[in-house]
Amino acid sequence: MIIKEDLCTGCLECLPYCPTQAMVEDGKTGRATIIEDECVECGVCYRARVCGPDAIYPQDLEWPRTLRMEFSDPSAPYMSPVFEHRIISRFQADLRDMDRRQLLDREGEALTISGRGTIEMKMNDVMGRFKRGRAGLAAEVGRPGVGARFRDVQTVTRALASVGVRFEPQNPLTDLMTDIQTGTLREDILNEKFLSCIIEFDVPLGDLARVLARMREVAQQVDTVFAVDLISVVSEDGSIPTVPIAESLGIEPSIAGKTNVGLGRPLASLD
Amino acid sequence: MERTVTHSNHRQGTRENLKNDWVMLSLPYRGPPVIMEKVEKYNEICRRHHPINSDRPRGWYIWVFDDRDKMEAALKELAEAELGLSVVVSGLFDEVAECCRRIGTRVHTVNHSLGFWGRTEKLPPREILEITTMCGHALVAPSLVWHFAERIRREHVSVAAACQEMRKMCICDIFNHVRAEELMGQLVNAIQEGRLAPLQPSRGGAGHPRNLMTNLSGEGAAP
Repeated sequence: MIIKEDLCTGCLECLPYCPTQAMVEDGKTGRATIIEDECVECGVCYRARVCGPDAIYPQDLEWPRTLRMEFSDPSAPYMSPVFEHRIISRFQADLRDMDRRQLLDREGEALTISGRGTIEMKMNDVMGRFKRGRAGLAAEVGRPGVGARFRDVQTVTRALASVGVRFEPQNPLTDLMTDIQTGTLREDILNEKFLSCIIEFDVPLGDLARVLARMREVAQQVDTVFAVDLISVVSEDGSIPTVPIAESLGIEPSIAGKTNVGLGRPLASLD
Repeated sequence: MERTVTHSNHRQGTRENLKNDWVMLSLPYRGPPVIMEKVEKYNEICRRHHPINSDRPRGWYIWVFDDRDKMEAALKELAEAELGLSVVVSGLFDEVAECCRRIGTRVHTVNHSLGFWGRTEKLPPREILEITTMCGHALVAPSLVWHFAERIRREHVSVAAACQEMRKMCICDIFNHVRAEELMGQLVNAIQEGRLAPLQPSRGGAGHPRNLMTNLSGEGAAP
């Protein structure tokens, strides 16, 4: 985002809207300004329409800064070429005749993404992505609201890879890895800041305690926070096999979260 | 690639104040006409039970209910309709499980939050987090909550108006403004009574940006 200095009146009404506090008052001019390295291109300040003279506007982004928008603005389209293969195949022919922005104008939200994750457990009743005897895990790096840089993500992915975790290939984060076995990311993106990047994987229940313990260790090494998700199929008797494992480590699962209520049909095999 | 959302799993709160916060999502939301007919039926059923978020067209349909009975009534009707769509409810686990038992279905898969790990000192206080996490994409800034708390206190801006403005930041419109009003009222009271101190400046997350203004002039201490 950019603030047109000549239009800014210095009312500073925009400042509280910025999730990463990248908008500050310029001590010399008294006008609002944006610390470019802190801005995650989430677009909140622009969409808020809080600026009377419309001094706030989006800038043209180039790689790797495009990643900031893609991992911060839920309404953002894929702009980075590294994700091009993820654009729905039916649009590939169109992309020969128009660029992504033109395609977005035509197709609207069909080309946008949000959450930067996968469908995880939302359709587990019909897809069976998570089986009995396994636990789904996610580290949502930067959430809630602190933001993070890809170097923090790499710290976590390398730690997870060291205990044998295999990352979910459908998650776009894997496109940013140069070595999926070690969890190493591209060097040119490590300083890019964003609101959240989700690391997804699943492990056998027998490995859950060890992996959670490693996640707890690496939490001490990052300069941000990450939200942790734990997914489990519910047993026939209503028990949740992941809960006692987490509790054995002194981790208390939340009282609220997401429940797939099992209305999808046909039901998938979980074995 | 599917357009997906993972943003209702970390709504912070107490058992008491989460009782008016239920988010319902159905998937798939896109597909051939036979699927879209089911999606429309899902939406019709949910609309009948008075969700509190807007009915504007979105890529997917997520409905927010401020009352468990409304959520359960919608869920019961969805089960009876046998649409075959996956339905996910975010809210208190035991209450959702109890709703399922009453309507004759069974909880299939759960996604627990294990909380926030790492530099948690960068997070705002619990009272602020309970409001901001209702936009799971973190588009409602802690500084905005603080800003409106101050405006409510000093400028007599209404709590409802403040919460509607914060709600606008949440693109997916799952920011429960009804619950936010309750929490915002409690927050303002906590500040008035001195139980909650003004936020400290922190580049990482929680501070009020006005506290950072001197950074550029070089006159103030760096946060």
